[in-house]
Amino acid sequence: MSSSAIAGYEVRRLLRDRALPALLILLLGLSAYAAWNGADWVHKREAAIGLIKEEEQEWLASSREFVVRSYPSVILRITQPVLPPAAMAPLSVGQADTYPFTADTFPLGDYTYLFRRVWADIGSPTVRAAGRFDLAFVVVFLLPLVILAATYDLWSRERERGVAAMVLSQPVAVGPLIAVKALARGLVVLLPSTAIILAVAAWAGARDPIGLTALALAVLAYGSFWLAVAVIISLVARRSTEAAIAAGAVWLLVVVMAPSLTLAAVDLAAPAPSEMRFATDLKARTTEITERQRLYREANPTPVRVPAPTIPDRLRDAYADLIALDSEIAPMIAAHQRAKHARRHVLDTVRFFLPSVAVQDALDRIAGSDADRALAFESQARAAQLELRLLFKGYLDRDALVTPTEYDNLPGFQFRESGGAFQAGVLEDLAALIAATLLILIAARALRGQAASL
Amino acid sequence: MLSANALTKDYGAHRALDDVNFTVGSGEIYSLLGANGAGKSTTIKLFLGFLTPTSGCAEVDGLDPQQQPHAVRRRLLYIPETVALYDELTGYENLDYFARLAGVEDRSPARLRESLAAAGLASDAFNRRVGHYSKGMRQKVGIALANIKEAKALLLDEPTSGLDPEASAEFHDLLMSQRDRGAAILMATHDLFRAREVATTIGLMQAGGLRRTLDASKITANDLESLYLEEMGRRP
Repeated sequence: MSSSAIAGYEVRRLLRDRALPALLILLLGLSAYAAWNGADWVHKREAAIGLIKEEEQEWLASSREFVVRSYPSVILRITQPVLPPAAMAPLSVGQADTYPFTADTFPLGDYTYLFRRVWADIGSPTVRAAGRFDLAFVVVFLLPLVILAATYDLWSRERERGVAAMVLSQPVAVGPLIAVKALARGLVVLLPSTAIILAVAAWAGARDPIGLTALALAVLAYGSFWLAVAVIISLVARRSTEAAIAAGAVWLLVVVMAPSLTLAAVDLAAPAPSEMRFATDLKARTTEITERQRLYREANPTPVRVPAPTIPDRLRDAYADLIALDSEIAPMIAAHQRAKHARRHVLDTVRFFLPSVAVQDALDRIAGSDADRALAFESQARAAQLELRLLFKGYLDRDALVTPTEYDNLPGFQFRESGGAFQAGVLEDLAALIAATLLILIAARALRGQAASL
Repeated sequence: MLSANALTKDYGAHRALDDVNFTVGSGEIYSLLGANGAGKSTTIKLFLGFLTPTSGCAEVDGLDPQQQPHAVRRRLLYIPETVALYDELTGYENLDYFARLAGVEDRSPARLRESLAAAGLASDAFNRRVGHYSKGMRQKVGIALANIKEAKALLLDEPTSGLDPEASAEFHDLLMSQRDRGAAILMATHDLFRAREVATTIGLMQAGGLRRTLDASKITANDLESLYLEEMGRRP
């Protein structure tokens, strides 16, 4: 019998079952609400960025007054770099809330000054497994339930009703038969589900064609994984109730328990360094050093130069003290960064073994709400801070004031995107999902004999 | 066409079938009578290849179901107590689907309809979903499949259990038509009187053994009942 005929009848049966349209309507409703949540988050983030930009403009205007009046100092633009939401941001809030999206660059600011407004618990791992009720949540948590609901009893119900005996009394190979039935059911469920998710994502404002393509691939890859799970359950379970319990248990294990247990294991193997403790220690150390520097300056004042320089020497002293401070706290910062990197490396590796985490990671990366993009912003903001500091030093060295023209032409901050929707991380996540699916299908092939026992 | 040769089946320590021997030729109906657990269904499942015999072998047209399951199943039609079909499909669609599974090449709409009609299914039921069919109507779809498949042998497992007398009589008429076209029929049943009416040969089974083989044409209903009760009362 041709596969297309088996698939055709399977699709016909599924379409005549009223459960499928109900499931798809439910998915549409939940997806629309999730997409609205995502769009709302983007609007709020954009509004916050708008306020920051207004504030920045006010600062620029007031600072320029000092430049015009030739105030004896180095007046530079105090910029506020921001990380704007990416093109596909409504898809997933991801880890965007756990990292700073704005910074303050000031030439004489210390390490903590850059993100003084946002000192979040950077690297919170819980968001990796379960985030807000956004489209990514729908994909990671609810899509498997829709697929399992439509496919879990693929063969067990036929066994239960006796149809399997009628089928197996015909000259058919049970393995390919179940594979074709699963594929047909899977496509009938997965294709409309993917279309729904893409449509609501576009409706919420995530309209980048490449991003939507990547989203479609992530949904299909993750859906295929759950389809393979349904096949193996169908082969092993003899009753629909057994199959339903097995499907629920696998969902709970893969989507809820495994990520939590793995995170607990990662916490033991590579504990997350406490940001609060780091911040407290850093502040204490900074206070200690600056106090020591103040006492030194009091005891050893800089000689007064004649004629006096245009820019007072106290600014040069402050700059020198800042460089010395940075140098002293550098080992402390480096140790903290190493601990964070070690943990991130473990988390990045374990995601390949957890399909739900892999797809969440892929969706976060497609949406631009992943940790790597946030860390890239942090890195670029620090680079901007360094650039500003070197510019400051240049004026100190030349003892020259900033002219209004120079002030107007000072560099601003523009976040440079890297990677895009098909960045290496997304491709790795997709590869992990495909590998997991293939492994399950290989196991299903080994178990196909179980389907023939009635 | 059907041949059980020293057929034995154990489930662990329990012997479900013990050295059973019989043959069913083309155009013959062999009726297996016995209480629940006598081994009737096990015998049928061994012919289908659903079970593997512990020793001995079942043969269909000289073929071993374990060695050539597809070739065997091309020749067979299995009708269980309730013909399980897809409730979401119509009778016509079910017949088309199973005919495709069976590898029937000529599945023209006219032939499918003709097979259903020949099996006694009313034409207004062809396009009705099987979920609304009675047990008897499902049996007719099964017989229609035997027609279109041109099955050489039919394996029936208590096919009239639960049918009303009229439907039961109608089913036996259909069975006779299958016999007349040359099919070998092996039927497990509890219905002594129908068995005697339609069968060529009757086998009395008890506790996995074939205790007696009777020529249905040479035994009265009363004698069959007496023998049956006598065998059922016998300790293994």
